[in-house]
Amino acid sequence: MHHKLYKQNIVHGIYMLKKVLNAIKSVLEPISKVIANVINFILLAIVYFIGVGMVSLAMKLFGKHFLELKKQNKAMENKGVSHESNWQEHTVTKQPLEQYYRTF
Amino acid sequence: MNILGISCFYHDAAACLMKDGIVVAAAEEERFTRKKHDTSFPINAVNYCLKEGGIVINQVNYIGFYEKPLLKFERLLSQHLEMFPLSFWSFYNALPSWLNEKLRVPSVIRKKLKYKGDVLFIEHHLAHAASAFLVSPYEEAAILTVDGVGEWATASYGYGKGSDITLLKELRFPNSVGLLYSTVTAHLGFSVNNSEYKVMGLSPYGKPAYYDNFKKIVNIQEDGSIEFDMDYFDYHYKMTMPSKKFIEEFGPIRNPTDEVTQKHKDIAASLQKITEEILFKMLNHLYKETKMKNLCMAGGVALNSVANGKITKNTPFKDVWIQPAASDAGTSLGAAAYVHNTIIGNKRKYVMKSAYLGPSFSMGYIKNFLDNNKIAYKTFKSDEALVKMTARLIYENHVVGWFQGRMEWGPRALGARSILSNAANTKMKDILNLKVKHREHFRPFAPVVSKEDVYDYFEIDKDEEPFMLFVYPFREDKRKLVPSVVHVDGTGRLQTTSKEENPLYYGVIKEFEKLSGVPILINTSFNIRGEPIVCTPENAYKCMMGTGIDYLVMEKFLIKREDNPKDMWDSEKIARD
Repeated sequence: MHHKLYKQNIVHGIYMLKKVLNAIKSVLEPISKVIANVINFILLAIVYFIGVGMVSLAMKLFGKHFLELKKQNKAMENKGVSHESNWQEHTVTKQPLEQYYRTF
Repeated sequence: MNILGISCFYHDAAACLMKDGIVVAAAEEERFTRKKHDTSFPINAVNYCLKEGGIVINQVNYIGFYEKPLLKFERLLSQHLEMFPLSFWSFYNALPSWLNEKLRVPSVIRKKLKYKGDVLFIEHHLAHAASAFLVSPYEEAAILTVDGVGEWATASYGYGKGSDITLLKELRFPNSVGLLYSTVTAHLGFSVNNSEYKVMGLSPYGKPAYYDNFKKIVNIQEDGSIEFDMDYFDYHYKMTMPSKKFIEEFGPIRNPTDEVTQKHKDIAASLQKITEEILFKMLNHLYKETKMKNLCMAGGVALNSVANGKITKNTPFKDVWIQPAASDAGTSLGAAAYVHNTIIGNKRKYVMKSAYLGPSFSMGYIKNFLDNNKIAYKTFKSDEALVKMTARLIYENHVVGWFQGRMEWGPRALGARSILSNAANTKMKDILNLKVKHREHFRPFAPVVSKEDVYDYFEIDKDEEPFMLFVYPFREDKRKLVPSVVHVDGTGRLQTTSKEENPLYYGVIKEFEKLSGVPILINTSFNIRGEPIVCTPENAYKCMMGTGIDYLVMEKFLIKREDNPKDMWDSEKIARD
């Protein structure tokens, strides 16, 4: 009889504990999402403005471009017909098997 | 030998299984998750392919992945390095998914599939090329692939011979026919990577009054190569596509709820004209380089069926074969085929004659579903009875959901997951739009015709068109017979079928011909607006009950919507474009 009561009390206690923990979770979860978004934003902003930014500015000082944009704009500016083909050589044939393990 | 091809993480995730050189299963992930153009890892599609192939994952010899992720990342980084600091928001939105999964593809595959074998990476446009050539009927052919962008390439050309493919040249980002089409799609108020075909359907309503405006922003060489004035575009650094200068040139961006005006139709017509000009110049150049009469095409732009229907008239190519899943879903098939045939060196022995590569459902499965859900239905005693009754229902102007056999591979419904109705009824287009599809008024419905009758009805230079990838003009004297499938310019995006390809589908058409004198039906995709085409009996029933489809013919079962009022609901409440 005592055993039964004791077991019932434990089950009830666990149930109540679950309810309390779920309630805490429902309050903390949205807060944690906001914190995660803020931290993500800060970290990505650091990577972008410092990492990408420094490389970009340094390369531009050396006149390096990563996308060919100015060429197009210049061709359009001249309003003439550029006779240069824009097809670029990129021969792709069967390679040795090891080459296909590469992700680049 | 079992090769699994996978494409995912950008749009149209899919999987394909090749067993000893035969494609035994292929499906897009969206059909299982019910999320249109689903980008996520195609676990459901993979599981289906393995089940259909009767194998488990550790029996897969190789997995072929449809692109080189690090090359693509290089292009993405280049965009940000070039456009710093303007590209911050684009960077912020894109980078997490790259760090979480796109840069870790081998480990993602191994973890999600519990796979211990080898993963091979195929360049994106090579996967497109393989998806067309290696399953085509040609021993040798010229190949053109055109899409938005892969790693760097936006178009590439070459040739295939036997089991080998050689790509010769490519166009590079940001110069892209696909992205041009998508930019205009966005400008016209439609969704990108989803509604480009609507712009194509709109184009015959307009005149190319903006052709010269497009010539200002796209420099086209005689060999088809192009250069954009990137001042008119934003996609290389922003989440939007047309720039302020584009808007100054073509007018404000149309709000999706605004009326489509003549100006919009003229822009669509001008875009279609310039797209065709670029494509035909590319193809003529390709012919000069290869001197091959056969042509294979793939890539999202190869879904432009209006342009496709004009290829043989505007180029020296005699025969054209296009992969039905020409967009990124098809690269999973291409990756598998390339691994099997080219890398491993097996001789080709499979020709893709049918797009019925998805799951089918047994009579027992369907009966259990109907009985467990207390759905009222009737059972046909024979195929003959099924065909006769379906034809009669269509002749009597009912809208019939048609669910038979294996699901189609690719974006088109081809008589496995279709809605069929009476093409001879002048009002059927409006009835379908009102009751079922709720589409924009300018969008045409497509015809399916029996193969032996195609010359009678279409100005066409071949006797079969099973994948609905080409638009042809109707013969003038036949247009009034099938008004609901004749577009405003007298054309139709047809599908042909035969007894050998799909006996029941063909049978319904022939029975309908006996009743009406016309061997053509309306064939439109079986789906709720904004959702993928239905996959399972559950999807099909839910679609019927949420729309105005009158009857559902599901294998040998006939379900009438009115007999099941308890399950009726209004799909328009949740529909989205």
